[in-house]
Amino acid sequence: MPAAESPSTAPLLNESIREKIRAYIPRYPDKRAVTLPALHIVHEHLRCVPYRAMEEIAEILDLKPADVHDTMSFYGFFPQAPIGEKRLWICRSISCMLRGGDELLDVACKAAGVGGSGQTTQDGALTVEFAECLGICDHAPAALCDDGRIYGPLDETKVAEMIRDVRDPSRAPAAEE
Amino acid sequence: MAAFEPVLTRNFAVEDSQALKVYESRGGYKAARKALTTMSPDEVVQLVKDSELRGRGGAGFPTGLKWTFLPKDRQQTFMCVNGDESEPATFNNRYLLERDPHQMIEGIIISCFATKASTAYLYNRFEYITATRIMEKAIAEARKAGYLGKNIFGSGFDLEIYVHRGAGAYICGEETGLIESLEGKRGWPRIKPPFPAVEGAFRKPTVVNNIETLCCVPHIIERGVDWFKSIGNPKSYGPKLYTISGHVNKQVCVELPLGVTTRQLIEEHGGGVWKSRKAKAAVPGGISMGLLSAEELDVPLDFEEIRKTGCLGLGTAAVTVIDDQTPIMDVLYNTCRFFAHESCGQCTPCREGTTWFYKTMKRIKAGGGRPEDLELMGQLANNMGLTPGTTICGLADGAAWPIKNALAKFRPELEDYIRTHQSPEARPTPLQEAIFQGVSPSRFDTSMPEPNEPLALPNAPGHNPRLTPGP
Amino acid sequence: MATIIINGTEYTLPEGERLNAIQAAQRFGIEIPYYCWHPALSVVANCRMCEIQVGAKDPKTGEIKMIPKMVPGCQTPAKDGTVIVTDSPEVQAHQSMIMEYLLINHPLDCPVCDQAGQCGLQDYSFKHGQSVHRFVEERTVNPRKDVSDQIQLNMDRCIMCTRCVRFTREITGTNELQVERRGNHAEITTFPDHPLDNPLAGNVVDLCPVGALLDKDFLHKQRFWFNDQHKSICTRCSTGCNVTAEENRGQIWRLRARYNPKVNDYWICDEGRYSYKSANDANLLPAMYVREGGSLQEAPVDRALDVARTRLKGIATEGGRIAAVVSPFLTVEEAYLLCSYVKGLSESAQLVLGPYPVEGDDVTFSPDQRAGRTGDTSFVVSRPFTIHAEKCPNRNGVERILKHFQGSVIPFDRFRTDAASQPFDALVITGGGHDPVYEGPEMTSLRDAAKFLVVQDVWPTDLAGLADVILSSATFAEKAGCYVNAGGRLQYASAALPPRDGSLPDLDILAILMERPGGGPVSSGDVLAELAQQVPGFEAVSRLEGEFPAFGLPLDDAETPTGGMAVYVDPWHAPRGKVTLAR
Repeated sequence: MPAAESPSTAPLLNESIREKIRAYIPRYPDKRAVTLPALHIVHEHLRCVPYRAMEEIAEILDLKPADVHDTMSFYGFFPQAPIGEKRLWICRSISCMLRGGDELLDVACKAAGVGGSGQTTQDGALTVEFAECLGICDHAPAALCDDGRIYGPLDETKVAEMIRDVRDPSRAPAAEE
Repeated sequence: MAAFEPVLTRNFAVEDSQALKVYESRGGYKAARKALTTMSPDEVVQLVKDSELRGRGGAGFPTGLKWTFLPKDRQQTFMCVNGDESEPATFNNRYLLERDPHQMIEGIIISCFATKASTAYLYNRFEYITATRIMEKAIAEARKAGYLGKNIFGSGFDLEIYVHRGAGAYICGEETGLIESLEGKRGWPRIKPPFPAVEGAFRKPTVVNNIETLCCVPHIIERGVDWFKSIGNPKSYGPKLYTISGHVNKQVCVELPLGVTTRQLIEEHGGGVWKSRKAKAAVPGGISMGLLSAEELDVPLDFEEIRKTGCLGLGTAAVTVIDDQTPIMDVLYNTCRFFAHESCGQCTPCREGTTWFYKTMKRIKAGGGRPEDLELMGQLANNMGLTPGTTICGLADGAAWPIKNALAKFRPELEDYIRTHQSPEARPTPLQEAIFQGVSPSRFDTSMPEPNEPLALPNAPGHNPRLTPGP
Repeated sequence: MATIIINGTEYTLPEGERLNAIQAAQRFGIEIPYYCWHPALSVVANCRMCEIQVGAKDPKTGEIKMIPKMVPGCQTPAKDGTVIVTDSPEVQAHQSMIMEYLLINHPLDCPVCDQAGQCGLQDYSFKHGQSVHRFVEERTVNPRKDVSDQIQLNMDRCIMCTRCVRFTREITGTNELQVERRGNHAEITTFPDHPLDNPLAGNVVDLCPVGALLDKDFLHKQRFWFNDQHKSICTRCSTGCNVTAEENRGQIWRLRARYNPKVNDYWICDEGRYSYKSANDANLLPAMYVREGGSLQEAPVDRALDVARTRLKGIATEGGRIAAVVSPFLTVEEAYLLCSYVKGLSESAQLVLGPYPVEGDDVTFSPDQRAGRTGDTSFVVSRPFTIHAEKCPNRNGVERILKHFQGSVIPFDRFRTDAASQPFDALVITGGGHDPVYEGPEMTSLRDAAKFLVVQDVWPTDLAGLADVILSSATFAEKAGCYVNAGGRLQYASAALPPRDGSLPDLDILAILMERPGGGPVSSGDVLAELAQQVPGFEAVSRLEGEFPAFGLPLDDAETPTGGMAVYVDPWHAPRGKVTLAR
């Protein structure tokens, strides 16, 4: 088991992140319910949820670190090591598979220049992953960028276009606050 | 029969349909005002009960009946809106959220009023990034207009809606899995009883309803029970959002009366099977429901008729069409991969069974299939899930059903696939085969010894098919 | 009264008991196999081993209606009219299916596994499994890891019953253990740098139905079936936890918790768990000694006893002042004999309560019936567990005896100060604890407080080195007798080890010293019966009829009924008959 990331004692989560997490507490009768929102907030800021962040979330929510890790590791969404600035999911579920989704994952990885699903480009701009149904089967075979952009129906040429589009910062939708 | 008038999707094509102004200008929030100011909660429950509205999430449980399970003397109730629509090929809830968020809010208001819930959590799957943004904006807008918050419509009823984002787990669409996930835990479904209506989120009485179910509620209030029951088939009333995807020319989401047939969907709404091919099979409502053969495409897609085909149910009414060029084995491989990935790992049969299926399918696809694999998978599939009572939730049924259906309806094709897809290096090793046969391979003799006599085993499903006498 | 029907036979359960099908069936000797269920933990029904067929009998018509599907026994309440079938072909087929699933990724390493012989997988595989396995795919091999310095997790053997995780969440509330990931890839693990180190951590090893969680202290040391199991009482603190001491070849190899709902429930603390080591210590007194010509000389047992007896008698006859330090590590029988002996020598003899360590404050774990738990918790009977700061087993019992003999208890520290100014003619000091307490200048000063000093202990302490006679006595494991715990409950501990060479159990030493009539070894039962007649506070023993109660005897109050299961032991820990060698 890897040790906690850093021996430094400085908190990983700054006050504004902590404030955002605390703002969710009144929504639920139990602090523990803020676990998922907190993980999402941390993930948005750090592009990952390292062990240190889990410990700090646990502290804010009066939990034990193992509780947070237990929850976090259950879901497919939260990576422990940083991912790229953009995250692209290629769907491999039935509707997409029927229209070639399985093969497009390899095509997309190649187009992005990564070795396989779950890997990030060397410049840290993009992570390509597979997904079990993205709920955008009307675009099948489809892909989803984590800023909300939907791509599809894809074919080999469109995958290349998509990768270019995702990597182009000027094409990204305005970030919401 | 009068022409069907879509109601759930009526605003979809309207410009800026997400805006409160637009929604109100098209008669929005009238039903909520009517319910809150002129009806008692019990009257609303009764009305929904009378309408025989059945849950649109998959199981088709009568919504009004579900609401009456709440204890009479409850102090606090939670509403969980199940937007963790993760069933493959399903996207109708996304349409409802993205294109008419205020219809959703109105549905929640009325349903919370009826169930006396003052907090509602809209559990959205994380993939619905845009939908979540739109919903949050719409909730803020509705709150500003006084449709949420304290004393809504002067009725004394208070309500807050919070959007809760999921994080990528199919199992959180199961109602108790959703509740556990909402509480900040892993989404392991709970044993029942206690049912959520008695002890759900935060150990309080809780209602979990699907998005589309709640979207139907305002229309029932507004147009009445008779209108609702004039649509659809007996025991399956009302409008339904069908999605069509897979091998069709147009992959769409359409609102139709319950009971439309798969063929109608393909021909009238999906623009026919792609590449001018024929449909070999279809998935009636998400892959966990099983498979329809080409002969069964005229069976009405409602809660009752579909079961007669051996499918698990209507599910999410997400129709996926499979053309005649696609091996059913590919479909099975895909479903097995999905369920192995999504099994929560709590119950032994599902945790081990789904992975077993997946590994077997992988081997068959790679050319290492054996004829007995099908029989074995059939036996395993028959013994896992909620139906035989061997798991806590229905995920394992979903994993088993496509296999059971495929074996019943496409067995010759599957056998043929195994026969024609053979590559020796993918086959199980002699040692594995020997364990399967219940004999030990000798260290000195590489040929497999034949067992002298069959081993005495209890005559039960789940046993070595070679050693168990046939029927 | 509730009537339930199990496999066609009607049984009656007393009214008001909330039992599940497993518990109810166990009452009548019918075993429903299970893994994940435990009476102290939430019902999660995830192993699916306990599935049975359930129905209900209509009280009016007598008609039996069965539920069409199978139901886990752990979540099925045994109510009036409940019909349970545990042995039908369907149930058996299901059990063999679960065994097949559980063994998919389980290594066949029983020959090197510590759990072998008391393993749920082994037992049920034999009983419910099959000799073939139809899984021909690649197996998942999970890694081995440490969850603490003391406990190892062989994840490849784990069946994901989550008993251990629930224990840390529901009983200790420390939440160190967690499940990581999901589905077939799920594992039990700890958070980095947050090891499983709570004071009750070792219980997860007892809880684990398979050989996944292992105590490194016991790892690969002994095969379970070679060990003799002795019912003992932990003497580490005044809780008096019930333990099983496992002994083989003259050594204790480990202590395991033994169920006692009145004292320790299903648990013991780690401090108690590893307290057995003092019984195996290489530094225990190897013999008895007598001071001759200024130095201590090893002496045969009879001679050492003879010297002590004669000298003490002589001093008493001369009217010398005598005192005895009565260790709270002595059993009540021993304390009683010591007190009657010394008081018999001299009516004015002083009796002192011996020293014992007090560490910090009492620590109590109070699991809640609902908080932190999941699902239907109505079957759970939650009871608190306390680790006492008072690190001796019998302060309560010894004090009762001292009060009887001299009306009051003289604390050790006061005695030490007084003795310094007014030395005694003879002093008998007893010990027998887990640690050598008579060490250092404060203790050796007692040498000057007595002209004749007898030390009866298991440790060669500083003070013993200055004694006139050293009587080598028994460790907790070498003697049988009763202790009174902090709550006033009298509990019997049997001896797990024979006396060491050159030593005698305290009870025999004292019987010889006092020339107790009858001769031969003394039975603690006889002494207990005698003391119960005389010492106030032990009347409950005299009222006792039949066998000594399994959960001990409350001396001060009436026994309250036990909720939940009357007897509990996981089937794989229960003895399943004797092994006989083939001729």
